[in-house]
Amino acid sequence: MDDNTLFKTYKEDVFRYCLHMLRNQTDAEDICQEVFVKAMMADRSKVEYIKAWLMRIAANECHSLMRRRTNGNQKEKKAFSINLPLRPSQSVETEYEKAEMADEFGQLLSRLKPKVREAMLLYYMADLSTAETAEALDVPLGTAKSRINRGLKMLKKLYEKSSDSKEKGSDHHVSNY
Amino acid sequence: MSRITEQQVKQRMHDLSDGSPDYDEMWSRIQLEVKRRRSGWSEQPNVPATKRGMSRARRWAIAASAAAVLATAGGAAVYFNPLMQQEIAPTEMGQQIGIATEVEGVEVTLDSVVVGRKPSEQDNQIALHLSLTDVQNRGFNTFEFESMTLTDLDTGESLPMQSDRSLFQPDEANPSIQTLIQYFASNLSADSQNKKYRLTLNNLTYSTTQIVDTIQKEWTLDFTIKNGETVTFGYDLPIENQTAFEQRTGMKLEPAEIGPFELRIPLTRTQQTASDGFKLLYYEDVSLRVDDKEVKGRWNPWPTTANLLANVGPDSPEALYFNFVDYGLEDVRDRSLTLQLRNAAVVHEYPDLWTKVSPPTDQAQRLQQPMPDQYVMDYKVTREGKDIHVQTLTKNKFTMVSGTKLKVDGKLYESDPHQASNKYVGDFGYQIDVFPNVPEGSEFSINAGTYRVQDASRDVDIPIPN
Repeated sequence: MDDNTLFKTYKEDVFRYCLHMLRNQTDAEDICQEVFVKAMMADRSKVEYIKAWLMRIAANECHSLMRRRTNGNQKEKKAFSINLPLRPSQSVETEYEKAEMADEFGQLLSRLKPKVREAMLLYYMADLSTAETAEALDVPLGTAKSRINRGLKMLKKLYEKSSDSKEKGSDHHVSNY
Repeated sequence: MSRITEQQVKQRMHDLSDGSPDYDEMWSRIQLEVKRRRSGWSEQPNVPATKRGMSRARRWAIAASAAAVLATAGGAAVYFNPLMQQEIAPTEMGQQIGIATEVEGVEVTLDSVVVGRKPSEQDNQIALHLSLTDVQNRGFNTFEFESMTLTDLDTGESLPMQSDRSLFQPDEANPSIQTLIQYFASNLSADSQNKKYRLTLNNLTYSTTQIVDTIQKEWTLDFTIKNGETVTFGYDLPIENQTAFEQRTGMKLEPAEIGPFELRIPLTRTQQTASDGFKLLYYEDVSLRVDDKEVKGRWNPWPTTANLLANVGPDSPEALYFNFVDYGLEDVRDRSLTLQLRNAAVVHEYPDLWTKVSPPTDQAQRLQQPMPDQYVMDYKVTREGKDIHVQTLTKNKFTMVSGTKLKVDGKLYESDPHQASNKYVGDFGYQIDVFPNVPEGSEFSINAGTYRVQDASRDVDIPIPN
């Protein structure tokens, strides 16, 4: 598979994974770009399952960025606590938040912990097998399965709660009527 | 109460928004970046030779001699800072530098440089240990440079920085000093010549509880990385007393390769199976105890099912990797090291154990077969038209590898791997093997094929003499 075909075939899977992991459009674009740069620089001749391999790179890149952001956040929180932005030019996820408002399910998904969310995205969105998900996340198979199962349960629970609150809102409206 | 099924979750995950990025523009940027890296990067594909570490006294002697370093800066004061060296815990591995430059009351010091192999990779990296002091003590508590560049002064090439930020953090021991370890990709090797570098830091944003401001200036530090002895690439430690490990795994541990950023242990599969005849894939949990600290490791690459079925190992050599950077470790010399391997993933197979089945119909037929290893195979067999479906119950620590085998009136039938499916639904799951075009017959039987179990009886602790 040549570079262009690689990008065309997998750009959406990689980008959507990055977007819903990082919850920031700009970061997702940067990381998606880096994933394909690394993939194109690498020798792919021995890669058996290209999609799983790409998603593994994406998972690693997202981990790396989130780790750096976690370290940086401590300082940023300090600055924000005195209402003074550390770097005034940095926007705070505005683009993605707008999109998220229109994407209810994405909003529920964003409430899952990153470790669970990444497993869910790889398994359900990117259609990796449990073994490929485990390999992409560099965790034992049992751990990957456990995270998928936990994520599914949590999503179902969140969905039910969300539906309940809507129904209550609806009932309230009806009673007023 | 509204409920959502797993299938609906899957569908909604597929329907998730992608934010409509400009893929064409992204593709253009990717092509440009690849072109840039291909023209500017010279990767170091060979593993550098390892060497035994120096004695502590010798390291200090070298650290002292390594202080003779070039230092210049455009209009900024640059000087050695012996006081700083006393205040900051020295880096055991690598080369002490100890030069500083001050601009508008903010002093940046390059304390030391460490070069070694990147965790889990073959390339090397340079770690710059930096510290920053607000000389006039104005109460600034946050410092971040807009950019940081490390330039090879012989070639003019800029080395790629491994992270995208240059944010200093208060030193735990001395909060008045801010520190940062910044990593750059490097093609230095143990036999490289002395190399001159320039570190340039631009535009410092800082804040106090009242002020946020930026100094639009440049901090520049020139230094030399000495070849050979001053660049510590690590050392090897043979692992002794492997008898129990070899018996339980059929594998051998090669000498541990210890560097400043990681410890890795290559593995060799000396036997096809362990001494009891079972094939060990890998250990699910791998860790290294460094004194009383546990460093989680990883087994890479993991043998895949495809490899296993082909009876070959992974494409590249297997090794255990322990990343010191993630655990704030820098030097494990003189420390107690113990390798801890837990929960072996082992493949079992009983090719002569066949379970008799009544001729399958469209009504599922359930059968249980106790195995010699105490596991119980739980099958459901159904005929769907010309095909036979065999569903096998799996569990968290019990998964199918090759899939089941089917024999009808003495003739062996293989399942179609493209129609096989498996699903995990919690603590339990199942695998369905589809045997296409199986004729009617009188004697049907099933074999479990290869399956994988988790075996804690193979747990082992292996001290690494250090």
